[in-house]
Amino acid sequence: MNTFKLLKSKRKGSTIALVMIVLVILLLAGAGLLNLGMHSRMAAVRDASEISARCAADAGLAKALYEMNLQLAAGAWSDSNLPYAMYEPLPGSEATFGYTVTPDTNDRYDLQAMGNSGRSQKTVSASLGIKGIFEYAVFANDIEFKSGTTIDAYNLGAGGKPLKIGTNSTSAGAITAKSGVTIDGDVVVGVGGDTDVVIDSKAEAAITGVTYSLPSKHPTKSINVPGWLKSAPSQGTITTGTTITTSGKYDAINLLADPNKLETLVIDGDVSLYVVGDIRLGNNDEFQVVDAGTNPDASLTLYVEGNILFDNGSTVNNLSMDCRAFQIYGLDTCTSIQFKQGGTIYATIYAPNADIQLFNGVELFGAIVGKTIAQDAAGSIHYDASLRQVSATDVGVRFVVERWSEQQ
Amino acid sequence: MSKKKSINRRAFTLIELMVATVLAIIVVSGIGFILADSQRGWNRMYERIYSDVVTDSYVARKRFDSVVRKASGEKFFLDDYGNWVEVYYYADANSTALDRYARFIYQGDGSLYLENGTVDVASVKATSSVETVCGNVTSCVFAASGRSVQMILTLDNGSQSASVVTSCVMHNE
Repeated sequence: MNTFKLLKSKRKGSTIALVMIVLVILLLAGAGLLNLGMHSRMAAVRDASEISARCAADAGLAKALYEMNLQLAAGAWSDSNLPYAMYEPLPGSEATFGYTVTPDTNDRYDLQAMGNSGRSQKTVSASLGIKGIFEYAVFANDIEFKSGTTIDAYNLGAGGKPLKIGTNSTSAGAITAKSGVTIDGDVVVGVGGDTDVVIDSKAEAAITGVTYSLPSKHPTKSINVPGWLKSAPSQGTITTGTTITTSGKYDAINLLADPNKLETLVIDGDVSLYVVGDIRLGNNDEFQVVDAGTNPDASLTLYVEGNILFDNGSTVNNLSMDCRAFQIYGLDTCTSIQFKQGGTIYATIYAPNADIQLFNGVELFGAIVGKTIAQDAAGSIHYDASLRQVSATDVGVRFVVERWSEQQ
Repeated sequence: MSKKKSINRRAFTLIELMVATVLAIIVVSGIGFILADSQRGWNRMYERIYSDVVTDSYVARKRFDSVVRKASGEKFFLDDYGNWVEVYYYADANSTALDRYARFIYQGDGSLYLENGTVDVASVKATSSVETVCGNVTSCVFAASGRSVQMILTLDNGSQSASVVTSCVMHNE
């Protein structure tokens, strides 16, 4: 039989059928693998998109907050100019973000940030509040309380958070609280700090709250003098007692000219003083803010570039008994503030570059922020918890996220 | 007398049969190998996508993210050995204080647990639930830096292992 005949043969064969079966099986297996691979790939893409969208939403929130704080620092805060963005690209990715800010009824702002990446969309929401520079009763890199010192709070309100004293430092003994010191609140140390190491004699002091380390560095930003005050012409140096009713710029305040004469500087108005040089009060000299009955608007805000020394026997007599009526802001060049007089002071002191010393058992009602703070004799610091309530027009305030949530 | 016809049909030789048989064996073996390999590959890929280890790791990461991201950066506690982390959060937007806590715990028993509860004004905790986030855990270490918390989770079911490293920022005040 030749080949031609074999090909012409009508005998049934099964090879084609077998090959087809094998091919179909392989095809099915291949299709299954491809399907599985595609599902895996889709899941990975979806996962990556979700992460990317979430990052974009977070970035949107951070940027909106940054813009709001820029406006606030510039003193140009207005509810009519709230940040807004849509489909802004997130650098280094294909994701975009947008955000809207709306004021709510509780003097807060609702921020909603959306992140988009591929088909994924994530939304994070935050309620923004304003925080001031006196969130802490006492804050400095180095704090020393001598035996007998008491730190407590007033105007706390029901359910209010306990007072805090704190430091950004993680150095051993950055907070010294010897035996006999009472801190009626929390003590906070720098990021990653060991409270047993940073708080010297922690076991001896009576700390009623908890001790913990900061989750992130607490900002102690520089204070800017209002432009109108900074550019005002200087009115020279104040050397004698007088009554001040209006704001102004001065070279210095030095009441030491006659050490035996009692000089009283009376503040009878809403007064801001920008002092380029030092402030010096001698024995018996007095800073006096009239009481609220005499002038309900009476208050003194001091912006000081030089140093401050209130000598023995001098008095800071804030008759309004409201620490907000006597505010001292030490600017970047202010490196020393000393209160050598005893007695009671209603004041807030914010001088992040200054070494602040309280002698002679000063009893301070208000709050202090400095580079270092030393209470050289048994005294008291009574924190006015109402200092936590601030507005957009207060000095040094910033927006912070008070509540945060995201759509799952 | 019947006349026998001699049939001269051509047949396969032994050599031809042997060659054909060898070729058939090679072809069938190849096909079998390909099919078996496909099956193994499919199983392997399926395991990588849908096995309990992988889905558990995915669930654990999502759970960790959702809890830690809403936590407050103000206060959290971390075990010295990284076996647990405890974070605090607000029950809702109207809460005035941190009134909820969540603690991720790995006790070395093969499971990752999440303990939830309430916190009163005196910082006294009351546990309301303990859920198993995932099983097959061979190691789980928590770490923290600043406002970030990290979880390094390794799962193994005997035939497959998966590792998850996830970090989250605690966004609430």
